[in-house]
Amino acid sequence: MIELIRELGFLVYRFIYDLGRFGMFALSVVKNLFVRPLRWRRFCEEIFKEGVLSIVIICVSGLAVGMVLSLQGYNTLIRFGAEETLGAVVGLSLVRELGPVLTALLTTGRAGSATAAEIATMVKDEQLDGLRMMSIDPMHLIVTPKAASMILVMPLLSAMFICCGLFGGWMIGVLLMGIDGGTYLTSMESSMTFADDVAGSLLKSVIFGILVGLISTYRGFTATPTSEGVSSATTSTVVFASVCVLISDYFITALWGV
Amino acid sequence: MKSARNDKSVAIALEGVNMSFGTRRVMHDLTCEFARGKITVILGGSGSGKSTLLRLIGGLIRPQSGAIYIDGRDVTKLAESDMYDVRRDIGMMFQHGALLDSISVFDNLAFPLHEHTDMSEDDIADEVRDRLDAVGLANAEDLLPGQLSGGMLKRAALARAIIQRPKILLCDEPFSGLDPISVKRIEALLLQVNQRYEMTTLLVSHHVATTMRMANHVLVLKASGAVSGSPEEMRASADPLIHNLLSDELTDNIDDIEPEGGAARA
Ligand SMILES: Nc1ncnc2c1ncn2[C@@H]1O[C@H](COP(=O)(O)OP(=O)(O)O)[C@@H](O)[C@H]1O
Ligand SMILES: [Mg+2]
Repeated sequence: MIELIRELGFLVYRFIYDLGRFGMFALSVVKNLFVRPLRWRRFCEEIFKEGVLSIVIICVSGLAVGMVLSLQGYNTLIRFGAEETLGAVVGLSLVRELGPVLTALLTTGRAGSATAAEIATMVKDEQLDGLRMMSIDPMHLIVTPKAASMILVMPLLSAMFICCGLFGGWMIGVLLMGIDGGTYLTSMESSMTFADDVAGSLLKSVIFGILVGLISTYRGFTATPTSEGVSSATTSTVVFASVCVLISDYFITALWGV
Repeated sequence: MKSARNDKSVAIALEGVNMSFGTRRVMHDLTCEFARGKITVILGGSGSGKSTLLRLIGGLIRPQSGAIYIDGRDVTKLAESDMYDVRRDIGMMFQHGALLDSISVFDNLAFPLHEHTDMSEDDIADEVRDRLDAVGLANAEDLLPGQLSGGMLKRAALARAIIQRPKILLCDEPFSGLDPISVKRIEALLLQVNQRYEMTTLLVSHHVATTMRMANHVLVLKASGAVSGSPEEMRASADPLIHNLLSDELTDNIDDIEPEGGAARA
């Protein structure tokens, strides 16, 4: 029993310790955003690595999700004779929920894990210490551009995901199932408002970008300097960031009704 | 001992430094000093805290207690941002290179110059090629660190450590994994920069013969503390540990069985 309490106490302690450390880390990233020289070049490199290289997987996934959504939606709606609302169903689910969330999960797997692994490897090989010894702050040079670019990249990728999804949904609904193209688009357009749905979608993906960017860089930066440390930083980034995305998605939806 | 921090002939002084990792105590009340402009060789068995000592001096880790004076300034009390100023005068050659692996050797050397000076591109290129020539890597400037052999990596790391002509040079095992020709070359280079720029040089090495030849001072790390003296005093020492360490002076090949130093790759 005493053992159990001690274990529990230790876990709580670890959690609070980690949370505090993560908070300090996040503050430091924010501070470093404004420290000169601004790392524009590094920022652009990261956008390329995290964003441009993810475009294919995002588009293919978006297309597939849109298509399956349309197929499932059609099969369900036709039971109620409401298949002309298919455009609204596909559009709203993609914009409000699936676009931002699935993009965040895919980006975590693709770019988040790569970011964590890259930084953890630099920790392991003492590259970051090497930078420190050259009077260059690795938080400023390496971490901040990576975290910041994720915040920009996430909404852009999410938008691409949604566009591909809408196209996939349209293909199935209109071309395959033979719903009238005009009906499909009108139902989608009239059910959606910019302020609510589109802006909300944007807000979600920005928050997910912050989460994934900070978690992946934090996990990499605090990795133990061994091969095992690198792999556990990568794994825990994927697990932790995915769970955080899903949980925060619930709260954003519940609180802001997005 | 108190005077060490104001003594101009002492570049670095440690006073009562205690360092542990978790429950593992690596340094116990270590007090020692390093003469300005001289080459001091640090000897000790593996795990005796040689690398830890260099990392402490570079401020990469902080001791639990004690003071470390660099040019009379206690760096253990400095904020990280002030530490960056102190490090401008320190060049560190890491045991495994620690070069940025995403950019070429040339860019690795040019990087600190881009960051901290307003030299023109041409001047930077001249400076970088000068150092690469000095370590014998003139034809490797376009390679990525991952494409270098272990020995080449060491030499590139040394070139980077001295690119800004630091006042203090910390070298962690500069000779391990090097072929005999490179050892000679690096030895000559270290002597040369030490004399020309009066660099205070700290060498951690198992190449006892080479380093004892170069040393002005020797510091031996032992569990019970540090022993320092001139190379002659060390050779005459009755201490069995020192005697053992120096007995390799004749064979000079401990590192060649080092598993990770890249000896096999070099
Ligand atoms: N970051 C660290 N965490 C835990 N233990 C460490 C760490 N760095 C060094 N040590 C321990 O400190 C001791 C001295 O290490 P080090 O200075 O690397 O020895 P060496 O003299 O071989 O260079 C070793 O026993 C090592 O296990
Ligand atoms: Mg060592």
